[in-house]
Amino acid sequence: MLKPSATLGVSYLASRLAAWVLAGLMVAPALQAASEVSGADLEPLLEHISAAGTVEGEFRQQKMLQDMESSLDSRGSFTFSADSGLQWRVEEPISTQLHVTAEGMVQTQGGTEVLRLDAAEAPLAVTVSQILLAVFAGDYQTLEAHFELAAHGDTDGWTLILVPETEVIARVVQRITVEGGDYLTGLLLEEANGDSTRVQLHSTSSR
Amino acid sequence: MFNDVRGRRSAVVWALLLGACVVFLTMRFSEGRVFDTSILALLPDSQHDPVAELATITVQDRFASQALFLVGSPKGSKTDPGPIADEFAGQLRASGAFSGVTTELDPEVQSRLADLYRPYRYQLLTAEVRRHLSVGDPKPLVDEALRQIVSPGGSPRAVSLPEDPLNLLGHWLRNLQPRGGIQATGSGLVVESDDYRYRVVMAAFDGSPFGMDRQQAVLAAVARASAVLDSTGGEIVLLRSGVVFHAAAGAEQAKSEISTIGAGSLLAIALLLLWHFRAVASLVLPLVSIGTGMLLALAVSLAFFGQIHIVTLAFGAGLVGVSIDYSLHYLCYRRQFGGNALTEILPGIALGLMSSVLAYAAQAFTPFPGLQQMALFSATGLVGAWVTVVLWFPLVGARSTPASQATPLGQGLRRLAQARTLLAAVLGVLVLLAAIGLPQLRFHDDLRALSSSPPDLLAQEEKVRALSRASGGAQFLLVQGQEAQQVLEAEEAVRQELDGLVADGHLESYQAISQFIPSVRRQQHNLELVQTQLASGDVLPEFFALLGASSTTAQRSQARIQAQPRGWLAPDAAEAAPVHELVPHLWLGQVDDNTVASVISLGAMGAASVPEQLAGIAAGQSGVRYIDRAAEISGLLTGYRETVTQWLLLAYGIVVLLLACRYRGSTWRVVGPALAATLMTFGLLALFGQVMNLFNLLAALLILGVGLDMGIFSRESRHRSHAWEAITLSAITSALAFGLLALSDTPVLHHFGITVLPGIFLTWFLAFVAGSGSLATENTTTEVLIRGSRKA
Repeated sequence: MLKPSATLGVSYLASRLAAWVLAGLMVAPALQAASEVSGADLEPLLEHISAAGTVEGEFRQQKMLQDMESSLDSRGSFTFSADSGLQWRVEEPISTQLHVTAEGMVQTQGGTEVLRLDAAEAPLAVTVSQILLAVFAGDYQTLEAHFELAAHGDTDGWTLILVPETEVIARVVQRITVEGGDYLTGLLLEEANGDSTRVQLHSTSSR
Repeated sequence: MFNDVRGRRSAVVWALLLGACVVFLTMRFSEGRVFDTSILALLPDSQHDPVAELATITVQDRFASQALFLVGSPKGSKTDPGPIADEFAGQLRASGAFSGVTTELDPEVQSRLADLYRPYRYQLLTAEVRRHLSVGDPKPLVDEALRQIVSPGGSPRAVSLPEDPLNLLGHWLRNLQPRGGIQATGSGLVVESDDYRYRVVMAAFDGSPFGMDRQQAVLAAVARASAVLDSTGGEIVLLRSGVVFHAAAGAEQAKSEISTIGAGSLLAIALLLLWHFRAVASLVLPLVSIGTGMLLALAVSLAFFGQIHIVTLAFGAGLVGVSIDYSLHYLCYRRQFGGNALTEILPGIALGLMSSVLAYAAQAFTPFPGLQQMALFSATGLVGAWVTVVLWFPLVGARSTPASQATPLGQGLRRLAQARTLLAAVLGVLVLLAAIGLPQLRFHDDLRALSSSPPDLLAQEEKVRALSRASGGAQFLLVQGQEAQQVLEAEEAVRQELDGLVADGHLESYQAISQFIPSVRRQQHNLELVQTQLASGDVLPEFFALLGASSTTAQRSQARIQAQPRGWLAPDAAEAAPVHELVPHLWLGQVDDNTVASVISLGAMGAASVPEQLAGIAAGQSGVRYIDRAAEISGLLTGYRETVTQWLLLAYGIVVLLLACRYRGSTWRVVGPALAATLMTFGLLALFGQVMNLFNLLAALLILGVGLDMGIFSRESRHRSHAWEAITLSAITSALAFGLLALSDTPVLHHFGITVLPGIFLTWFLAFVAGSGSLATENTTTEVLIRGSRKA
């Protein structure tokens, strides 16, 4: 199914650093206010996603960075379950794994832990992890706490647009677009500095 | 001595002068900022070193004018502390007591910081990045850069990929962020304990936390804002930290104790005087004398020093005990004999005043501002009280007739004098006990022993400190050099050793300007390293190839690094302003014509040996000094105490010389009781385990003042009963006025009181046992006869 939140996740953990780093770079363009959709409209969509228990699949990611003439591509596989969180395995061009849980994130490479962000060190990373998992789990309330939500479509094909409401997040992320039908199928992260990341998800099995 | 006309004219002049004092004080009090409460204000400026002084002030101002609040709820609870914290912060802002209230990082400063560093990104390397590059192993850096790109999201970059392929700027900026403690999140600043999560509210105010006006404004604002917590049913807790709260608590306590203890003792003195003299005039006259003394002392001290310290005021409260003596002698003499009492007692009280004033004047020449203030206050207070007795008292009730009956006090004293043998035995035991105690006398000059913060406030402070991992600012390294680059290079050398302490867990953290702006030498070295490793060779081409980017991108990136213009970031450049805004206490800059200085602030220390290690590190690097303000102040208190001891001895010396002119061989009878009583007091206090400090010694100066009066008057009056009545009343009033401070919870006041109380009692006891022989046999008739014969 989908994998939007990982994108979110890392970029938010980044945004913790961002407190220092990023703010300067990005003048957030004014966003057109997304038409707000009531919880009553959104919840069926999210419930629809969350109906599936464990989801596995493959993904392709295209990253468009400013000052680069072509996209940077990578691919890999993922597994999500409500119990054990999200496993995001990049296979090309290098091999690295990210495990996202409600407690934070751990990144490994070649079996070695290279990054750990937990509540004590990086509370924002935990927030990000929770947002990420909330998308998978269809947790409308968690999402609404951080974003203004807008949705259209029906359960066969729908689009959900998340615009950050808190300033710290808005300094990093301009907008996140999540697409899906029975499963999540795509994710577009537009960063405030003009970079963007598109992830296509192809779920191969669900239990 | 004074004829009526001259006397009246002088009395009027005195009244006019006091009127001027009232006008001045009224104006001064309406301006505010009359009282100072910082113990530090009593001490001389640190070590006669203007640079260290400036550094201390800069660092302390940074911490002293801030308050930190944690608004928290238990981790399991459904209540989010966020909205409450925001409302609390909003109320603080609206109060106007604070110049700034924040609940999140200021994005403006951060963005300006990123702008500042961007052009210099190839020459700003963290220790870790430099290590990888200098050993020619950039692979960990390449891997990390790749991971960030292929991981979903990845860190947003401060500059584009070709402009900074290995994200050197990202490493640099991330490294500047403090670790642990307070964290920035999407919803604001947070900090967590094991069982609570807190939102952080930081507030800064203008002005000194020791100014009472500022304290009151801050406390009132916090009290009003705390009301927002009331609606939460006790689930939300508020922790506060800041010098201002401790200063306010200390000042409040001292103030309320001076007023309650002061009012209590004044009432007791009033009852005592009424009981003894049985006339309202005898109550009013001493009060007028004391009051005018205080009036003059306050006015002169304020005019001279600008502000009065609360400890001076406490010391001044003791002055009541000394300054009332002149009135008492006047009244006791008049009660017994009537007539012109002044003429009879004038030699005695003039000598008493002169010796006391000289003793206090000696203090004024010490280099300690606190002592100078107390000396001026005491001397002018005594002069004021004395002048009132001399100029005003003869105008009132001069025609009163001698009392025919002996007073209950006089009878009591006579009976007591008849039991002198027993008293002498008691005294002997006391002397013995004191002699045993005296060798055990110990001094402890720790500043913390003088802090009177309530335990609850201290507990909050400690908790907030531990959670936020903030440093108190009392310890730091001072780095000096002839120019900025020398200072930065010295910092970089010393930081290597500090890093060792941090790695060992001995030091929580440190902050130095060279972490934000490296020396030019290091920037040059870094740039060479980056150009050697990355501008040519395979590292970047392979990196871009892995990402599927074209080889021209790699070439462009390498050419960009090679062509980096040579220009260096410097702390004194105008562009460095964002750094100084962020860490304003680190860079002192040009402090005089040939000195540039900076401060390395230090976090919490993990072991008692760390200060010593730090001092050792500083000693090993020229231009670097370890400054420990707390230890320094304790050292100053020690110096202060030693100075007071010397001046105490000198004061006794002056007094002995002066009195020897009049009393010759029997001078010791006059000075002896005060001196012996002081030694006995110290011995007895030591015996009971009391540890002494500066303030016990200051009390010894008061014992000298009161004790001398006793000695002089008993001598001058040839130990007649009116004199013993006056002396006894004086001892009791002194004990009441000042000794009651022993009950105080403010350490400074407590130490004063606990010394003065036994000191004055023992002085009286000694003088009485030694000099009351004639009292036992004296009666009123012989007294009148003697008086008659002297007149003739």
